[in-house]
Amino acid sequence: MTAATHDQALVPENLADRLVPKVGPMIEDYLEPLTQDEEQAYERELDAIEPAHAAAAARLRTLFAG
Amino acid sequence: MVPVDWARALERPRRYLLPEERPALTDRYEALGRSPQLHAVLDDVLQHGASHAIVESPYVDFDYRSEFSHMYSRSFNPPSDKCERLLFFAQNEFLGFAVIRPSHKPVGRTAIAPPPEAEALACCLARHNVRTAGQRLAIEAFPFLSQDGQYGRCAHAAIWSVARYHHLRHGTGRHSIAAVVDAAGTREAVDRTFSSGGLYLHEVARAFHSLGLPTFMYDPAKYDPESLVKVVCRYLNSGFPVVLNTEAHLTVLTGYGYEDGQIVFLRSDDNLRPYELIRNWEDQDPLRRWEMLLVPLPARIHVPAEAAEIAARRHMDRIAGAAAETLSFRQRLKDGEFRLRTYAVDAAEYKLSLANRDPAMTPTIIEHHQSVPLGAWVWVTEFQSKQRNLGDRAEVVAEIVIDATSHRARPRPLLANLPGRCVAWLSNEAHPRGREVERLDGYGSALPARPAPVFA
Repeated sequence: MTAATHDQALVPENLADRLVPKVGPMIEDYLEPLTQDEEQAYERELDAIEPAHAAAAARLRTLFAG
Repeated sequence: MVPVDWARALERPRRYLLPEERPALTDRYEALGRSPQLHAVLDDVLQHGASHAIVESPYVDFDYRSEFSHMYSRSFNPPSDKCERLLFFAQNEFLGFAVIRPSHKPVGRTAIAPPPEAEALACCLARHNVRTAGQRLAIEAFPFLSQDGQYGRCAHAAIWSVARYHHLRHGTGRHSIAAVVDAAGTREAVDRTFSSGGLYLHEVARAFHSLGLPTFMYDPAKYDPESLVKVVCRYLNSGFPVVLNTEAHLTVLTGYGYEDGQIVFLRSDDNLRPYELIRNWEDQDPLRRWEMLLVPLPARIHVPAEAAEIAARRHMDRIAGAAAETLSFRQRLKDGEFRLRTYAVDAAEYKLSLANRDPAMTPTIIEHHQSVPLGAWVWVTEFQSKQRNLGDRAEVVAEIVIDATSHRARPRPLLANLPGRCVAWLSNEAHPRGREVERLDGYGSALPARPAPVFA
């Protein structure tokens, strides 16, 4: 058995097909889109994360670990 | 003082029957120094019905040799450069091992199975392979080591255990105690290693960083108890140990579960034992107040768990408003009917695991998810019905996958399934793509069942 034949034997018949995303059409319209207030509320939550991590990092020098 | 037959190959006891010969075993090594850790290890293996301990001697240990060559060999009267290794068995069942060092805190690299009361709580177990006398043995355990109190302190032991765990579980580099000391930036020079007085937390973080384990940090004072528990559990669900700083001490949280509806944590404490149960962590932790949490990461994970979960809620909320068949699901989201559970996973492993998930997850959904390109690591958020208890077979109603390598402030979704729909966000496309699929009532969680609170 040649190397090429051997490799082919290991490849499932449908691998090439499996690698094609089985996705639907683009979603461009929403029946009930998020409101601007809802989007901003999520963004505020996300924007609060970075300062919390930075504040924690700033405390490290004050803590003895043993 | 080491026993006179230390590390000898011949003319020495090889087998100690347990529990009968436990005193002889502990007497042998406590000649080196009192060791609560050795007693804890023996307690744990005896809970599994240990019948005997076999002594492998001499044993050359990678980690002790690093301590020996960088520290002890420079002393006027150096100890032996060799160790002994105890192998524990319950009849023919292998329960793990403990390397015994010739130092006054003798318990070196150790891997033993969690005791029965801790088994269901353990989230961070890695496979340790043992080869001895032509035999292969293996045990799932969290790596443990007691500090020697001279070259390494509790911080070094905690860093070492997390680094070794990620090496075994996630394929990161293997680092000795000497490498940990070096990574902390506290070693004077190759030829001038001094005994350690301990590390400050910024040195701990630097050590993790230098060992290839970038670290997220959480100040418990900034979270209410419920939020803090969620922070910890998201990482433990991912199999990521959480390093805990209490007053002048560093330990590692390695699991969790619930007793009578109350959270219980599993902790590795190099001063005590590999598996310690922490009940009432807020006010009855013997190590007192939780000062800081560090989460060393085994890979390129830029998005913290809480950011991934917020993004999961946001994008699920958004796409549920796209089609008529998902509007009722969106209303349930708004009504707070779901319990969110978030975990990180190697994306390739996520795709592989789909085939072994609950059969209720249909081939169409599996095929969809397996076909969508993903980054190396992803966060997965499961939307679980609060009407069903954790561990029930059909608790998950929807899930969404977030790119762990995307921007921490704007985590990017990759794919999702919700009742009746699959959605994918492909690279370089402005809009997600959706397709109709079978409507599932629910399917089993990817997370292992563990003792859990009961929801009404």
